[in-house]
This record gives sequence, structure tokens and C-alpha cells, in this order.
Amino acid sequence: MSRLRNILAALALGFVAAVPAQAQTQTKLRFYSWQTDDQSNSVWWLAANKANEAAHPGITIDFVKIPRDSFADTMMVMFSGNTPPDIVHLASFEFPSFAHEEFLEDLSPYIAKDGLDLKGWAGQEKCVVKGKTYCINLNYFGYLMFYNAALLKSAGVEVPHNWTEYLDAARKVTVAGSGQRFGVGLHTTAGAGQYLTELLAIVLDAGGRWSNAAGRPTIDTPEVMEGLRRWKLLQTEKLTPLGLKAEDIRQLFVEGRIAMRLDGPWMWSLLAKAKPELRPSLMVAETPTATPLGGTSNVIGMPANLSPKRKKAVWDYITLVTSQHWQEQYVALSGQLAPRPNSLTREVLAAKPFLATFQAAQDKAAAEGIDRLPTGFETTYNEFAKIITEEAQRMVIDNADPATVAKRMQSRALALQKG
Amino acid sequence: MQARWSLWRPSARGWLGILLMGPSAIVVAFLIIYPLARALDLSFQKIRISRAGAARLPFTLDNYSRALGSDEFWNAALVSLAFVVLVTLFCFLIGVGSALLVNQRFPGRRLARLLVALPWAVPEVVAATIWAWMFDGSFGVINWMLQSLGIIDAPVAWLSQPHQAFAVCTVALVWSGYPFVAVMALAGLQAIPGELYEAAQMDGAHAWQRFWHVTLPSLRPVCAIALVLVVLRVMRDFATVFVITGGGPVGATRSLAIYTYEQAFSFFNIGYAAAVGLVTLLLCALFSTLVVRRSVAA
Repeated sequence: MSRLRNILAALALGFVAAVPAQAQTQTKLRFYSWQTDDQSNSVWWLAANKANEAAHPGITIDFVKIPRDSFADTMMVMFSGNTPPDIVHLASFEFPSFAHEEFLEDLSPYIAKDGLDLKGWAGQEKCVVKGKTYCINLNYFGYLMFYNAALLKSAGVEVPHNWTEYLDAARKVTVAGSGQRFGVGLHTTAGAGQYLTELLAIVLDAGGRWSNAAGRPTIDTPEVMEGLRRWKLLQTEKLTPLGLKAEDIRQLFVEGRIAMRLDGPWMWSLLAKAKPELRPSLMVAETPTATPLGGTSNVIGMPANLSPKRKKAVWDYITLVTSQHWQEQYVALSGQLAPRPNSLTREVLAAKPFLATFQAAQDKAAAEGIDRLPTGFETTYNEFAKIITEEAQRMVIDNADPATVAKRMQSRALALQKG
Repeated sequence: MQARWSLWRPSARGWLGILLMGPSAIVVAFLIIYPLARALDLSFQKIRISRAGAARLPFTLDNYSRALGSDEFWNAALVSLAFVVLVTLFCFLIGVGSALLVNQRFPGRRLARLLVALPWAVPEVVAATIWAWMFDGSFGVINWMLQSLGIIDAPVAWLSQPHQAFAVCTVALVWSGYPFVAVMALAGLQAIPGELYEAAQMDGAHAWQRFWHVTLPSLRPVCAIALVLVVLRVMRDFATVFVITGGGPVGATRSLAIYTYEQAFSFFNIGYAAAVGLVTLLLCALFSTLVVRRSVAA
């Protein structure tokens, strides 16, 4: 009998001892992202997740992929059903809608408590909504020009440094390419956000902006009209393949069928996919546009309805990924610039000299205060993008006058603001 | 002595039926009626993103008046109607035609039947992606073929021009939709008694008359059901058009399904999207009722 009692006591003791251990491994943070398997950001995310798990025993990160195309839908459904992920990762253009609905936790008290220094943090101002900081910006980019040096050389042109040279190079490469190779590559089909971004890159060079600092649309200005004229020209002269998405255009660039592509720094990692004989010809430079397009890319935050325990775990994670060390790691592992100042170390720069070009583009865009997200349209960005895209497409299809198109865009944008 | 009440007694058949239907009725209510009621409720609120458990916003008819007064809504309705008319027409022409063909006796008939039904087995998104690649304006195989045959001089930007993009979507919808009609029609053809044809032949009816006076009337009930299902399929189709054109260019292929999706998940106008969705549902219900009634009356 006493033996049985001893066994039962031992079992009870074992159970009591096992409970905390089990509880310790039970906190799994759900983290949904579209960057789980790309060749750039995912490397950093996976390393950061591992480091967080090592630093916080009992906390695991469930890092799950949701494709970019369906990311906003999925997030909306999750937030609507009160089942959001613990770590909220959003594209910067979809973040304002979630912040305005107060789905996200105000991070200001956490930032103040831990003394997270956000001074000089690129693009961080976009995380502030109604005076509250709802996110930490993870990427601010400056647009770059990726070019195929061999194609330019075979067409007898140099790397362009302004619009005139850019257009000339595009024409010469296209003529030499006989319908199989193109001077430039533009996203000209569905996907209004990407269309708007690429159009803006051209409009900016002409001195145009979608809206002013007060948020009033400025589309009917001569500068935007000039930008639209240039955009139209690139398409009507068929200097770009038509009807393709950015992903297809990037692929064509990697295959050596497009000579010049204005794009974000994320395109760099795709160049590794090029055939070995082609790879040395694929290069990057600052854009030939006077003002490069810049913008916030994606942000991190946490939902407002988490338990205090989970909020702490998520904030610990945010603290880790925004730390000096992990921001430096971001640059080293992803090959992109991090928003935290001084994240680009001398060693990394020596190993990846192209980052100097990235930095120059980012600095230039940031100095001009450029963001692809137009002021005044933060929560209606997708609708705004649709308006501009549709009108710009109509301009090309109907061969319409850019001035008339700009005026129509302006009136539709004003109507959108009025609701 | 009074007999014990039992579910198996003929007088208790009604109760037994209710009992047996109960579980499925509950599932149906949960899967269909609840979401429908929720959508109806949302459509009467000016709401951007709904939240489970949140307080209801004030009742409003704004979403409906906005939809009915919106050019975009009517454009989407027109696009849907155009898709319905064209896709249904071609699905029936090709579907019934191929059913008549594979109903004949010839060597390789089994294989032919399999080939007719094959597009039906291809997932919508896969098929749409293949069509989009084939009709790519710069590197698509369709342009290459047409140019090789000398039909066109320069590549056609199929997906960048409104009419061409609409045509491409129509082709893709017909391709994936006609096998259903073919299978239904084939089943209908096999159910027609041979005596009818023999009698018609004895009366001197030639092939066309036999088709017009025997085959078509006999296929009518099957075709009515197929018509309802094809129309509903086209009305609710989202994947095919979305993958090929995303509703563009300039709204040329933006059907009601895509318009609803866009408002809900791209613009976060859940209340408005619910209103548009319910109007679409109403249109579908009206059409189905009309066709079924006519079919029953006939």
C-alpha cells in the first residue's frame, strides 16, 4: 500500500513539475506574412524568429505565409472575426485602414517605457495616426534603375542620367530588339497599387505630385500632365511590353528581354535567378529621374485585443527586430537598407558595394519627403490608385489628351475625398 | 387499449421527416442563412470594416441608394449581363453541338467524350492563368500563331484593350463552361426513346426536322436546368476573370462579382459590398425563378 502511495506521490510530483514546463512551451505567436519564402526578407525573418525563440524560452513563432495578393483580404477577415495574428505585418499602404479602425495597439507607451529611439527612423511618420504610433516602419526604399548593360551597349547607348537620355535609350533598344526586346518594362495591367507606383516614378521626374502637404489633390497641374504625357509615350511607342504585371516584367528583365527597369531594392535578389552568362550584364544605378520615388514598404505592429501576456511577448519581438543588431542584420541578410539610422555597417558595405547606390537613392527620396502613399488618401489609397490607374489606362487606350485626363483624375480624386 | 405512439407509424411520417431533415437543415441554416442574414444586416449600415461583437451602426439605406446611383455599379451589371448572354449562348451552342457529336457511334467515341468533358476537370485558376499566358500581348502563343498564319501583322494587346480583354474572358469562361452543358445534354440525348426518331423517320422527317421537333423538345427540361446553372455560374464567376484581367482594363471586365470583391476587400467598404452582393443575389434569384417556372409550365 505504501508502495502504491509512493508511486502516486511521484506521479503527482512529476505532473506538478511538468505543468510549468508545458506552460512555458505553450505561447505560440501567430505571425502571418507574405515574406516567408522570398530570397531577401525571409532570410532575416527566419534568423530573427530563431533568435527571439532563443532569447525567450517558451515563446515560439508560427511564421506562416499568406500570398501578397490575398494578404489584405485575409487580414481583414481575421481582424473582423477578432482573431488577428499576434504579430501584425502589413504593407504600409494597407496599414492606415487598420489603424483608423483602431484594430491596432497604440505602441507609444511601449516605446516610451523602453526608450526606443525612433529619431531619424526612415518613414516612421507614416505609422503615426491621430497622434498615436500604431506601428514601426520596417522598410523605406528609394527607387533604383536596374539595367542590362549588354542590351544598352548593343543598341549603342550609355546608361541614361535624365529623362531625355532614358527615352532615347528605350527607343534605340526597342528598335534593335525587333519586338523581342524592349527598352523599358512597366506594369500596365491589373494591380492598381503597382500601376500607381510606377506611374508616380515618371510623374515625379516631371515635378508632379498627387497631392500637396495639406492633402489636397494636385493632379491638374502642368507637372502631372507632363508626367502623364511621358507615361503615355512609353506605351504608345511600345517601348515596354504591354499588359504585363510587375512580376512578369521583372522576370523578363532577368531573362534579358528588357533593358531598363525602375524598381525597388527588392529586385536585386531576383537578379541571382539570371543565367550565369547574363548575370554580369545586369546592374543597378540611381534612377535617371531627377527625384527618385521613395516610400515606406511594410510595417510591424500588434493587435489591440491581445492579452497583456501576449502583448508583452509581441513587444519583446518588436524590440528585438528593431534593435541595432537586428537592423544591421537586416541589411546584411536581406541586402536591403533598414530604416534604423546607421544600420549599414562598413563591413557590410565592403561586402555589398551596391548598397551605396541603394543608400543614395533612399537618402535622396527621404530628403524630398517623397512617399508613394499620397497625403490625404491614406485610408482610401486603393480607391485612389484605381481612379488614377483607370484614367491613365483610358488615356493610353483612347489616345486621350493628358491635360484632359489629369483634370478628370483631379475631379474624381476630389469626389473621393468628399466621400 | 390505445396503440403506442411510434415514429414509424404512417401518421408520424411528417415528424420522422422533420427529424431526419433536422441536422442538414441546421447545417444549411448555419452555412447559408446566417451569412445571408449577416450580409443583409451589414448592407443597412454605413460600415467600412465589420468587427465581430461590435455595436451595430445606425440603420441606413445609403448603400443601396449609392449602388443604384453609381455608374460603376451599372457598368458592372452590364458587364455581368454581357458575360451571361454571350457565355451562355456559346456554352449551349458548343455544348449541345459536341453532345450531339459524341452521341453518335464512331470509333474512339469514349475518348471523344472524355476530351469534351476535360476542360471541366481543370481548376478555374489554373485554366485562367494558362489563358492569360496564351493571350499575353508580347509573348503569348495566340499572337505568335496569328502572326505565323498571316492573320495579323502586329501583336494584339489582348489584355490591355477593353474589347479584346472582354473577348478573352468570354473565351475562357466558355471553354470551362461548355463541358457541363455537353454532359447534361448527352445525358438528355441518351434518355430520348429511339421510337420517337423511328416514328419521325416514318413520317418522312429529315435530319434537321428530327432535331428540331424531337431532339430539342426532349432536351428542354435538361437544358432549362443547365441554363439556370450556367447563368448562375457566370454571374458568380470570380476566379477566371480576376486572374486574367483583374476586372480591367478601365472596368471592361469588372463584373458584379469582381466589383463586390473590390469594394469589400480592396476598398474595405463592407456595408456597400454587402448591398451590391445582395442586389446580385436578388437578380440571380429572380432569373432562376423565372426560368424554372417557365420550364415547369412548359
